[in-house]
Parts: sequence; structure tokens; C-alpha cells
Amino acid sequence: MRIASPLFVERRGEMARLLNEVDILSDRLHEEFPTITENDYLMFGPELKIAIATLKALRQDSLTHKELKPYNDRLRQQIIDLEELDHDIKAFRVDAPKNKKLQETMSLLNNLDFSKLPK
Amino acid sequence: MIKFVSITSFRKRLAALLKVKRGVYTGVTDEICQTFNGATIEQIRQNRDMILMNNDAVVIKLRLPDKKQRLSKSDGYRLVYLVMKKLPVVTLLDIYPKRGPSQQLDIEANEINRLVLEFISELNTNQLVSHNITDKLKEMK
Repeated sequence: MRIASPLFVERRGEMARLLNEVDILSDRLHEEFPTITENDYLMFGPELKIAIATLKALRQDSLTHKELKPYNDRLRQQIIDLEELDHDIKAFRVDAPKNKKLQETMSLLNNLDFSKLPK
Repeated sequence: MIKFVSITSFRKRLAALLKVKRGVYTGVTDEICQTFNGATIEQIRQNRDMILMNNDAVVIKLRLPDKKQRLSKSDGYRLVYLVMKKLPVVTLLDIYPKRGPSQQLDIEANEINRLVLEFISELNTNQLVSHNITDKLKEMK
């Protein structure tokens, strides 16, 4: 029977807690997405980038620590999720309102003739 | 009754996904149908993954799982659709997988712009196609 060392158990516990916190952060960002403003992003955007970079470094590190390998795939998923959120907040909550071409296109949707829809 | 229509780009993209080797993405139509089947127009409009909005329409990028490949919403598909605020009409604009051989990580604002313009053009030229959401997204003639 193998007995896990206290350090092994502690590292896994810390990792599990961290991943749960990252899940909560992602969920919160998805929830708040429609109301995030440019000012909000100016406040948390740089910290979000730091968090992503830190998670990436942690993932690299975890590849060499056997006890952390079970968390590697979840960590990868979370990094992809946060990167996508960061991209979408920047593209659609910060830049899109200033994108004249896009705003013009969206305004065209206000006066459409839906009698031409297929039956 | 909610009407589901699509633009040409969406249908091409869907066809390309269904042709990918080893049937990697063959679960995509089921995922789309399951998402919309039984949902009310309010539920379809009030998705938290809304990316653009104006007075009459909302563009939503919906995260779908890929249950066939046991992938979560994070790793599944992204469905981009346009839903009108005053009419029960949903237009499917784009679909892409987050993993696998046809993986796409993000969609840019200029691509959304192109898709919306395509929708307007195809609405005006009667090129939109209706879909049966209860039957594998089959095209309705």
C-alpha cells in the first residue's frame, strides 16, 4: 500500500482549491459579460492577463510534478476558457462599440423586411 | 412558433464539419437541436453569452458541449446566432469547434460583421434556408 506524503497531499489540495477558484472566476466573468464596460476592463484586464500567464506557468510546472498531473487537463481547459473570455471582452465589450463599421451593420438590422423569410 | 433559418456560410461550415475524417464532429447537429428544442424565444434571447446587441437584434455566441466526444462547454462548439427581439426568428450564422482538426479559438468582430451583412443580403434576396430543429437540423424546402 502506498502512503502519500503530507507535501503530496497538501499540493494536491492547494491545486484543487485553486482550480475551483478559477472556475468561479470564469463563471462570474461569463455572468457579467453583457454588462462589462471599458472602464471595468481597464481595471481587471491587466490582472486577468497576469492570472492567465500565471496559470500557464503553473501548467508547465505541473507537467514535471507527478502529483499534479491529474489536474493538468482541467488547468488547460481553464486557461483556454479565460483566454477566450479575455479576447471576447476586449473585442465585443471594449472595441465593438467604437467600431463604426460594425455599428453601422448592426443598425441595418433595425429596418428589415421579414416578409421575405422562407416559409 | 420559433423559426430557425441559416445563412450560406453557416451551412457550408456545418457541412465541412460533418465531413471531417472519423466523424469527429458528427454530434454537432444533435447539440444544436438539443439546445434549441423546447426552449422559449425568451430563453434563446436571454443567453448570457450575448456579444452584440442593438434595438432589434442580439448576436449570441453560445458555448455548446460535445457530448459525443465527452467534451465540456469549454472544449465543445461555439454557435453564433442572431435573434430578433420582436420576432421569433433565430438565424444561425456560424459554428466552430474549440478542439480537434478544425479547431478555432476565437471569432473576430470583423467576421461577425461579415456574417450579419450576409444575413441581411440573403434575407433581401430570399436565400435564407429554414431548418427543422426537431429533426437533425434538416433543411425545409
